[in-house]
Amino acid sequence: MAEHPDKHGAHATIATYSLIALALFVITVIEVAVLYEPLKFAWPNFRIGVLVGLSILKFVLVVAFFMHLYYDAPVCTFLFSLGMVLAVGTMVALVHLFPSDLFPRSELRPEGKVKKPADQHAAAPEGFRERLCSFELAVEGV
Amino acid sequence: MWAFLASDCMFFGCLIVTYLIYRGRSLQPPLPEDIFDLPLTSTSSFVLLMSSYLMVLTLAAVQRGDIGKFRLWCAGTAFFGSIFLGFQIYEFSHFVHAGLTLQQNLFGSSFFVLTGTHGTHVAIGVLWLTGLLIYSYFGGVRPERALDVEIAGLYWHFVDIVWIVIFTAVYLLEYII
Repeated sequence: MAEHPDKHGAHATIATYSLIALALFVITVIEVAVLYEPLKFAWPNFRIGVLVGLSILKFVLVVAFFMHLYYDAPVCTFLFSLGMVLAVGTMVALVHLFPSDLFPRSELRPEGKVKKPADQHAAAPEGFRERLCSFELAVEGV
Repeated sequence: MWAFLASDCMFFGCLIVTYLIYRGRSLQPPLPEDIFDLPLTSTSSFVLLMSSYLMVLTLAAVQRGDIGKFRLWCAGTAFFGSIFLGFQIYEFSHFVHAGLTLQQNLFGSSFFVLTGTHGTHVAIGVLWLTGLLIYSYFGGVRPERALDVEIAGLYWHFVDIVWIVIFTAVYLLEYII
């Protein structure tokens, strides 16, 4: 962590911080706007991509400028990146360890209260409910 | 501090993916679509983002030796963090009244563990900032000791970026699929 001016010869200014804060606010507004008309009728995968992309942008802005990682020594970037890689790798591994879909249709609300694309109204695979019950019972330690 | 934050990334990563894996697998209500309040959560997200902005102003103030402004922005950051905690407490109590508890279903257990852990981190951050504010009145906060404030700032910003991920993966995603 640097107490002294950065590798480029200057700290970020208050104006820079204010611009970043304004950008974060605007991005948050866009993220919420994606859920309302007219964007809520767009293709779900597109909206998910927009949300994930905007979240990554907010993440990078806060880490790079508010946390000063852009201005700090490369070893700090390495340390944080290593943790992020391990975290993301663990998440991907856990997702692949579980046999079912990451985003299954809820058993309680087959039609869903939230608007869903047509192909998600298909019937659950045979034996899904039995596997789901045994999975939940196993989680509860029964 | 960066090494600690890297380890905390892995910790929250596991909690978030646990929530995502259990998503949609609850056999009993209430479900997320029954109780989530997007306007409330959006407001709390905005409050936490602005607290991050106040935190960088806090660090900038101490680096240039303006202890008065340091106290102002530090108090503001802690205040905004407390507002966020207030929103979380209100949301949790509303969910419990709606029937969602840790033991109710998979959604309840994974949601409360994830957001409760994050809320605990925020509470620790608020206590840390309050301690720094009090310390400044004893002459402990000086420009040559700005690293102390910077470390607190790193922790606070980390709490914010974790919420950025939680807000998207837990709340916003529920309204799409």
